[in-house]
Amino acid sequence: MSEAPSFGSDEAYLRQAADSPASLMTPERKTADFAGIFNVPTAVGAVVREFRSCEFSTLARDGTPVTWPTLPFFDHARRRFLITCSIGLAQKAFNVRRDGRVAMLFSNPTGSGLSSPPLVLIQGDAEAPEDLTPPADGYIERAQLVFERQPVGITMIAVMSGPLRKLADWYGWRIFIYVRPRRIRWWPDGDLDRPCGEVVT
Amino acid sequence: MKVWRQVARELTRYDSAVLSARDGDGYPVAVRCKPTPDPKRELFRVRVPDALGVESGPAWLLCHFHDEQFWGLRSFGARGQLEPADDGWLFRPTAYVPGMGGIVAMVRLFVGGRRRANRYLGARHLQPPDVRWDLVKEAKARAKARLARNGQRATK
Repeated sequence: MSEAPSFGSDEAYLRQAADSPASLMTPERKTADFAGIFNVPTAVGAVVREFRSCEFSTLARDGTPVTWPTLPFFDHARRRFLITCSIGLAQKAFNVRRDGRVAMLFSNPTGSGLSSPPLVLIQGDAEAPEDLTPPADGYIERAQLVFERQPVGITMIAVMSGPLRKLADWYGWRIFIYVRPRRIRWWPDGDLDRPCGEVVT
Repeated sequence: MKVWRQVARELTRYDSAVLSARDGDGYPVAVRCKPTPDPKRELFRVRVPDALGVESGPAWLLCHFHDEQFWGLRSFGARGQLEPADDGWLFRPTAYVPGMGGIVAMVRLFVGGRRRANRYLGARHLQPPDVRWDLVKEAKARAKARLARNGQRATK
């Protein structure tokens, strides 16, 4: 199980992602992405980079793994994911503060521009500090990524001025959740009948 | 409406679902699956790869959708129990949990969200944090420019 299955040409995946109109890859992302940092196939890195959402699981008080879709940002420099939630929708942060064991499944390729991507499951350890100050670096880049991937947000921000913006400001009061990957598994082509690859960090 | 019936009805609106449970170390695990309804026993058969190391116990079923533009969001969840069977696993739903999608969900989100946000701040004696609208505006401008270069639609 620990041997990485072949994906054919990793370069093909890179080209596929780079050629996609939806691609947001910068040269920096290509050289220092998730795949390079954790020594997983390029196809796995492409999934982490290009998927619009992952299914994020946290543990409820009664031990139930509660899972909702969310938008993760991978922080190359710190080798961890950043996930945010509004303080008005803070259950996943409360769960993390009680029990930091989490999982992120990348299983919905819609909008990614990738065809037959692997299914990627990342288990990790999370923390959700009380400090609501946004991480100083990368604020504009993260917001830009959201706008580029969800263009309707551009329209919504434009029409939401003055008093209307006041109504929605709570959505911008964010908690920052950091996830350090500990175990990464992937199934080539999303085929669960094939052996999975695995890296334990 | 019975939980099983509600989950079964909602499932028909999605191609597949995500099942999450826990492994031997207590960490959550999740996998994409196509639950098969068993109306007689009011549960769903699910296929879970052995490599996942899943254990019986509390589990969750999620269905969600977004379009190519990361919009048209809709979702629901179901709390339940995962039980082993001779030929795989069984998910027995115990609670339906509404998610995104539709005007009711949107109203619930905005009314309830503000109330909970104020409660969060009050419990911690915090002032609302500043939202950096100047940076948001800058990000919006950059995104518009990039989308325009890529020939994608960007309005306003």
